[in-house]
Amino acid sequence: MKIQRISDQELIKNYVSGNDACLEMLIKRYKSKVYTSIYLVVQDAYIAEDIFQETFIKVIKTLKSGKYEESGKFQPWVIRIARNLAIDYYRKIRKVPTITTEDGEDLFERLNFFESNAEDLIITKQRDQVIRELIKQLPADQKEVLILRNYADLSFKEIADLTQVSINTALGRMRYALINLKKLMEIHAPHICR
Amino acid sequence: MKLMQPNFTQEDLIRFVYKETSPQENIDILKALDYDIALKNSLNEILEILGYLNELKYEPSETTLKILNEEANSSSLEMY
Repeated sequence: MKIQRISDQELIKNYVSGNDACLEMLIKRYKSKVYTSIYLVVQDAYIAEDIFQETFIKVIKTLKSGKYEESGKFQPWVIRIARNLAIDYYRKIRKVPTITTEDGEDLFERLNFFESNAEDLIITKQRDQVIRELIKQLPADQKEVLILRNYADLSFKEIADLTQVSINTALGRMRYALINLKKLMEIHAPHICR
Repeated sequence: MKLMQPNFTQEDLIRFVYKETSPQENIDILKALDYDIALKNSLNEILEILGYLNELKYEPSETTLKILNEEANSSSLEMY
């Protein structure tokens, strides 16, 4: 028997009409994609939890207020809220003075990476942590497209709209992200390559 | 990644992997993969990297989900 998937729009409509369980279903449907995307951007589980929570509280408030208008595009809308909150978070922490290297990189970011190379990559050998660290090393625009496409599951068209670039630019950034990840893996984590 | 024949770019392969190519492009790419070794190698490299990336999956805590469900259920629509 084929089980039909209830669309996001139907769930939203029913939630607004008073069926609270429908929002729970929506959160369940997207929690992993949204949370993983946030976590890979901020690289801190506690901050990711906060941003995730704030994102869905905004979603709930907007739905309850009847201001939600983006029919059929629930997921990109949620990701856009999460992205804006992550940007706000970075704006706040940017106010804290940082020491940068000659190429403009935050020195502590770099030190953290090599520290984790020595300890996490070699001692614990946790592959997911290694991959997270490698993603972190990508240029910001490449990292963003990679996270939005692979983890948030947005199409390249949706990414292009969200980040205000052409689809070709988004695709090009994805291509470079994969090329650079491959290089980073070969340099920093050859042991995880199959 | 290695260079490949001009028919399909790496961007095309990326769209293909993410199921964003048209049905006709799918057919053309699948045909090309039969004889174009460079194209096949490029695809395998992309799939290999994505294989590592797809191992990452995280979930918010149960506490966070509980808070959100309570938030969703607690207030009446008129409150906002």
